[in-house]
Amino acid sequence: MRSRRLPPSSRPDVRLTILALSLVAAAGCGEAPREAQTLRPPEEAVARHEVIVIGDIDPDTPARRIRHLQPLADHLAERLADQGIRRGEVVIARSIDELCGLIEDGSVDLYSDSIFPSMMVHRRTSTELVLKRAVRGDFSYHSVILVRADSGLSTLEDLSGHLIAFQAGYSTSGYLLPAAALRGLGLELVSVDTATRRVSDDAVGYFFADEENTITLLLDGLVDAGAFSSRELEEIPTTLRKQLEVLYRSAEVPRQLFSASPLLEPSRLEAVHRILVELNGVTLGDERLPWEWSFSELSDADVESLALVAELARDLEETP
Amino acid sequence: VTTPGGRRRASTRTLLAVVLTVITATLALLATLGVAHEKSVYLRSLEDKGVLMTETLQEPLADALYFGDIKRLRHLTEALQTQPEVIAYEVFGGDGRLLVDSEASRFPAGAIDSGRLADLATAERAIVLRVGQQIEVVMPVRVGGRLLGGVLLRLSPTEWPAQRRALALRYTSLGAVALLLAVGLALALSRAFRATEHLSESERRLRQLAESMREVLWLRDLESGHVLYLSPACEEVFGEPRVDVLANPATRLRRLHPEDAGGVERLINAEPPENYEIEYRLREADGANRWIFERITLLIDHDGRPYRAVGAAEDITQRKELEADLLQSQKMDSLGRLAGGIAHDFNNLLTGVLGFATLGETRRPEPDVAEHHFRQIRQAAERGGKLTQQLLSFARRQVVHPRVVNLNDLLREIEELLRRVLGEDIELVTKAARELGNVRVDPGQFEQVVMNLVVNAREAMPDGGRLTIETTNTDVDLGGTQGRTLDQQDCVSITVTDTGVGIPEEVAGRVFEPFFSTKDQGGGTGLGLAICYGIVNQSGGDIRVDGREGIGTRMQILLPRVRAAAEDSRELVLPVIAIPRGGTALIAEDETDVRAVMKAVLDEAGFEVIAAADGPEALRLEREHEGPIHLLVTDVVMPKMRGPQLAKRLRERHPNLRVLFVSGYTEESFSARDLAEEDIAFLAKPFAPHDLLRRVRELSIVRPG
Repeated sequence: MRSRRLPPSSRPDVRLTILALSLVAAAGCGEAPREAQTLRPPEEAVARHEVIVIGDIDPDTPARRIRHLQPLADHLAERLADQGIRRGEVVIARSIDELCGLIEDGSVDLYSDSIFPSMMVHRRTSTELVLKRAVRGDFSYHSVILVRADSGLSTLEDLSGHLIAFQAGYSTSGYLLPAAALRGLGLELVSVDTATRRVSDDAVGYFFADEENTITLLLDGLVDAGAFSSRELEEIPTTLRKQLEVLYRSAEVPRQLFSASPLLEPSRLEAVHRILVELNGVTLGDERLPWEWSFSELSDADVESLALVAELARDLEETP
Repeated sequence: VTTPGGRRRASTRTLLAVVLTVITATLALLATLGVAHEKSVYLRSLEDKGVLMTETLQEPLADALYFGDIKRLRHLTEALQTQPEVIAYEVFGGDGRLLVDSEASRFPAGAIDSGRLADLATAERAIVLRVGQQIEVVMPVRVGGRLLGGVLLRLSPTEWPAQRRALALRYTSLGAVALLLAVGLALALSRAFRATEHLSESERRLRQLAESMREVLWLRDLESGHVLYLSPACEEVFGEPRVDVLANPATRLRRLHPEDAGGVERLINAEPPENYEIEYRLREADGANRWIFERITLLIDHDGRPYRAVGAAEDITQRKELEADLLQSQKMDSLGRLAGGIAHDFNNLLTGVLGFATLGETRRPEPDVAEHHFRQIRQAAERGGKLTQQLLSFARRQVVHPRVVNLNDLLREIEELLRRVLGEDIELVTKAARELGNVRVDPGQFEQVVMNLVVNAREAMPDGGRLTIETTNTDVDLGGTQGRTLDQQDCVSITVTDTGVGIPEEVAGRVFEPFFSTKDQGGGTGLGLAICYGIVNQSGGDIRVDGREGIGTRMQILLPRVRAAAEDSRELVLPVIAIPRGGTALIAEDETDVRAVMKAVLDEAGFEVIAAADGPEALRLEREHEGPIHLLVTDVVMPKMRGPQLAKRLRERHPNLRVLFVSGYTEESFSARDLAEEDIAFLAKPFAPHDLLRRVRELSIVRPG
């Protein structure tokens, strides 16, 4: 088994994590976190150590996320039966904080997420970075900032005094990577609630929108820039794509990371590693929600990019 | 008593009632099924709506339930409260605990118990329950094999009353239309049944009528010639099987009398030109004739052309025989009346004869006185002969011999006879016109006509009265004549007027109908005036009747006047006849007196006379006689051998024999076909000596030498 732990120097500070989580909570939830309920069928009663639990964060559509991950949990449970595992479960947390708490109290054994929250959790709970996971066939991707071709904007610095649309607050490609890049240039990011609001010349105004809205806002001139993943860039129709121009392209980063709780028994971790690698394109889940599962070992380049992301995250957390 | 028609009507009513009941029951069943179906469809749609509502909520509920987000759950279920069908809902957790519900209307506590939770844990879809008119839908919310909870929904068919009203209206309308159709159908069926019944009953009545009649009724299509109907009386009347006549109409005439064949076959087999009546005879196997009277009526189509013929044939043999019998009876009736009056005359005549004959024998008078006596005797005998002749004319079936006569002469001849018939309490007045014109009639028949009129008049005057017979020359108004035969204005009339009871106006037009009589039953034949009418018409004349009830009757006979002179003078002239002397005469007569008179007359005429009492004796005497027999004078009817037979036997031996038949009966009562017409003569009794000698001379006897 190959699992990666980032060097201590790159471990994010706890305070940054709390800040980031606060930002995420403010942007995505709006409600005070509350403890997740685990509702189990009354007839089933198994011991904790007989269950392998996969955790994830999704404050909006936990059911969908569970249906996505449950086949993988069932597969693992089935394969780990010789280790006393009788059932696989999925636990969805509404926030990084909540997930960290679940990991720390031993309620979650494995954690699958995009790299930014994964690195946040890693920094706080010392999770083991086990494997990278492909999404739609891609193990890695990058982030881009698009502007209109006729906007006259050519560098990130040109965005000063302009508006940028980010995607969800926990999105690595849609928010974290591009926001980190802007801040890395010393630009202030100012949250605005409408696209008509003006910002100062030394700041970049931003707000959150989904992918399709971002393209529309950009083409209509309501925003000056928009953040997308490289996959999303490829999916923009050619006619629209011609009207846009890439202003910034980040480094390649892993698409998803699969982490393990530090409390997971090594033998089980090793077995999980082996089982996941063996999947290699296997489709799990029923016909309503099939998912092709592929895991790969983290390369050195991946480790380097993750370190970069960790730095970006720390810079972001440290930004007032 | 229930008639077949009544039973059929009852059956018809029962059938109609059953039809209406079945239709009504079917409608009720259809309406019930229709309402139930609509209701079921509506409730199913409500179920589907409930399931859709819960399924739509399933994913968001799963997300909210997962985090136990009550606020979000309330937000999600707000939409349910806006649905009119939703009367209650609740969202419960995986342990059945109530999380959110419709506060206005709540489910009872424990609506989600452990059993229902167990069901929901494995349920693939929503569980739907019907609670009366309400629908309960329980939708489980499961994620990753775990039951997160669910939503319980109660729906009520809020639109149901309105929909039910619409349904009721729809099915009531449908039922009303169907009921109208059913009633219409029932009426139509009833009418059709009634029409069929009436038609059948009408057809049955006509058939019963046709088949119960003694007459044959038939219906024939003129174009095809086919017999369309033939009543069963066919076999009795025509004597032929019905089936044979239907197959071949000509079969009915197989027994047709040859003398009637031409006219009958032409009229019955060919297309008849017009309605007609006909009488004809059919011959029975035993040779007897059967009289058939047949009336044919043509049916006319819209174009005025005959297309069918209806016939009615009747066996009138009995009627024909009855008519003949009655005719004869009527004659005999008259004869009987005559006999009473004539007996009185004969007694008077005989008294005169006996008286003068006795005077001649006993007192040997002078020649002039003797001649007077003999004349009186002869005249008495002649009156007696006339009386008997008149009797015979009624009793015999005489051949009609019209002659030119003067009615005054005829009346004069029968006047005495009429007086006898009328009796002493009725006065007879005769008014004979001067220079009365002649007419052509059969004197015998005419005398019968007058006799019948007189007899009728006598019957009309039971208490006595006056009868006037008047003759005149008359110019007749042809437009007023009763019959059609009279076509001449210049006529001679004889009018018989009585002072009797008269003729009621209502029967005046019927007095000449055969068998019509105003007399009591048994009092008359009803043929008297009919015979008069027939005879007068046969003579080209007419009869007019003028009867006034209570005053009397006037019967006027009109006969065409002829310009020819009267043929037969009844003047009694003593004949002076040249009798050829010589020759042998054989007399055969069973009556002694007649034989003696004939022998005396022929002896005096110069004949050698051989007299025999009958045929065999005549033959014997002829054989004993040497020499030819030139003349045979024989009675026609004799015992042992009839006159014609005797004549035939003698003719064999005497080829030139002349024969004179003498008879008191009709001329038709013998046949002498074996003798040449010029070789025979006939002399009716009684006859005078000169009548005998005239007939003998007419025979042109071939004398010897």
